Amino acid sequence: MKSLKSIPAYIWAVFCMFLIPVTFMGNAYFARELAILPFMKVSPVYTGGDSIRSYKQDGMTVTINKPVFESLIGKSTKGFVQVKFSGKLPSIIKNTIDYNNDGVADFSLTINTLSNDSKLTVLSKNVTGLVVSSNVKSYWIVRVGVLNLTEK
Amino acid sequence: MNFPEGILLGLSTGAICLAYCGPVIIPYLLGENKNVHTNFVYVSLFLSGRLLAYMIIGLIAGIAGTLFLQPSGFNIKLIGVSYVFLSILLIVYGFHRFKEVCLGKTQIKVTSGYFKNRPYVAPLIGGILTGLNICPPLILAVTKAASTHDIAGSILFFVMFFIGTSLYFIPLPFIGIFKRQHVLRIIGKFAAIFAGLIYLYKGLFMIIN
Amino acid sequence: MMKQPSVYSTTGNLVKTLLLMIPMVLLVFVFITRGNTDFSSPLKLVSFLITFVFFSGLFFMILYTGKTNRYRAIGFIVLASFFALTFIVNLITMRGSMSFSNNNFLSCEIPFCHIVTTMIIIPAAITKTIIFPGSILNGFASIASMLVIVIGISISIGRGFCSWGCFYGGWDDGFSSIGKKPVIRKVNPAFKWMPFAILLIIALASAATLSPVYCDWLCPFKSVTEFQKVTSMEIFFKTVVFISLFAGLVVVLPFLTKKRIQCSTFCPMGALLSFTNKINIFGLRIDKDKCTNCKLCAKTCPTLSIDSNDIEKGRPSFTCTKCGKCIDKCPKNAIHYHVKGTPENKNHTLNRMLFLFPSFTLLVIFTGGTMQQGIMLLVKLFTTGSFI
Repeated sequence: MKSLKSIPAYIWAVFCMFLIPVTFMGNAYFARELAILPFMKVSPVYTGGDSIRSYKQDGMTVTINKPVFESLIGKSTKGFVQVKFSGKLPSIIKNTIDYNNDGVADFSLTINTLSNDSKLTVLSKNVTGLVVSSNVKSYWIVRVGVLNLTEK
Repeated sequence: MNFPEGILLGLSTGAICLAYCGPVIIPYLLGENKNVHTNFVYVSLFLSGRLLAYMIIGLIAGIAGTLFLQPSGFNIKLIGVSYVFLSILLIVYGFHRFKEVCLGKTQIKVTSGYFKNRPYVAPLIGGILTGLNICPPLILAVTKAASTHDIAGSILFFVMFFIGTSLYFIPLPFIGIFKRQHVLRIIGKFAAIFAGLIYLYKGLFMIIN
Repeated sequence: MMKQPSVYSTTGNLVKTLLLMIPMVLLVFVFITRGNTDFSSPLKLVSFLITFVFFSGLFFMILYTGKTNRYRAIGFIVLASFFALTFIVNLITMRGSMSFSNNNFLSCEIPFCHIVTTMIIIPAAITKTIIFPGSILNGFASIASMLVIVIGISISIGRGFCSWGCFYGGWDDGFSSIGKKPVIRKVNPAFKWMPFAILLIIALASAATLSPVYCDWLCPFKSVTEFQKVTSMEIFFKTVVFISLFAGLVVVLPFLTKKRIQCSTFCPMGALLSFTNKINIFGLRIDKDKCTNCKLCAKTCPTLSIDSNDIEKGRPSFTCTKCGKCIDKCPKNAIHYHVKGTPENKNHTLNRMLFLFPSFTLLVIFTGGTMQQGIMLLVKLFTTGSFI
């Protein structure tokens, strides 16, 4: 009986022997298969959310993302909206943003791309403040804090 | 006032309450290492503390509306102070009867007499202090309760909200299935100390900054 | 105490050792070249040869002398040192410093470290997202590729990863190996359970805040990899915390106690991997017929995984990292690697080889590339005065 139990044990041990080289040699394949799983996407808290609107202005492209109100369950009451400026960036970016497309300007930004100074002017009660403003490779990303007054 | 709305709001946000309250109550249950029945008593005491805190907040929301929720230096410092008290409770509880570590042996002489005859203190006060934490579900509940413009309605809304969130705490007492696992008790004590340190930092940061 | 003769058939047997080495030598060659056998550059050839001879030599010594831990530790410390060297130099070459700024954070380019696994599980289950600013498939140490590696290693050797693969553990191992006798002789065994408490708290805190709390606040190994640029009081405080933890848990306390303090009393990944030991096929067994209860294994174990109860039960605790130190130290040769489900305290050589192959291969895979790159960087330093 004991020797019968040993056979699958040794078979599994030999399998484990090969598992390490296979894991590394087949890493690209296994990673692609794992990436298909539903939970394998980076949280919008880090990606900035999905792009919902973009338009051209003064030679640059302004992309506004969906506001991010991520929470463990449901939606948070506080979050941020990401705005990306790409293309030919001037030394001073001046832009007024209506992030929720309700026809009312929510905030305006003045960014000095040379000195990295950014100024946010709040135009709506939904907006809480500037979260981050930074150049990322060839574009500029701004995240502005907003309140979630519509979600339950 | 639609009171089922309070329960529904509690149900939809209760998991967040568990995430915020978990670091307080879970180490306590592990550290006490009691059976399921006793754990139900402890969790009930914790929830009673939360209910008391929620009723206080409900009362304030009914009187002052959402005004008190506006971020102000005073509000933030008040929450910071409650965090500091919570951290002290957690750290003291963590070392209480934790004879496996030397600080625990010293502390036995100081606090064992106090806590020995008052086993309700830690979970009840932990519940109150955790309940005073302005977490996102609470902000939503306050906003809705304040819209009643009615003190009694506001308190009742909060009680309904509390019932909805409390359902998520039902599985916790079943930690007692692992009763007499000495190791879980040690882990619970360490976890209480670490949770206390986190709340201490948060509280001090809110008071100073 | 006079040591009993080794029970391994390869010990002192040159022919058998060389025969059993052949598959490993081939694996070493494959994994340190990674299919690239272009040795036109003399520097590349020299670094390859040094690495190849180093690992082949280590494996030879493990088999021929019958000692596991002594030679494992050499490879493990080399891994940690060269990993830190190459990582830091690459960062300085790319970014100009070890610190990352908002730039790297916002573009989701932070390499995914295996310790992050402990913090993403609950949020991934509930929010169906990964709470880490990395890339799923692209770049160095992408999320998917690292998770595949963690899963594969966990199934294969369980918490053996902590002694054969972790690119941080070598620091702890190295500092605990300095000096012959510990200054602090007794370490409270209750602290062995502290990593589980840390795992619990950081898992809950990360789920509540949707951010990797251990990385943000506690990881001491940011001292030898990368860290956030200090731009505020809070970040300054975090920097003080991780540097203090590195100095205390990785350098000073291991030196004083000769135990791997960070790995055994702090690391949450170690706690998580301990659970994989429960299902892993490899373990250690203590032959109670040979054991004289001298407790040398308990005193020697660097991760506090053996105590009197474990000796009584005939196996170390599930926190064992399978480093082999107790096996080497036991004067009665009473402790051995074991394949679960097979007769206990039999087939020592077979069981040992079955464990050594995957674990040593792991060590080679992680160290091979970085060691070659590190040698080339050191040559560059000595010849030009700079790494870059």
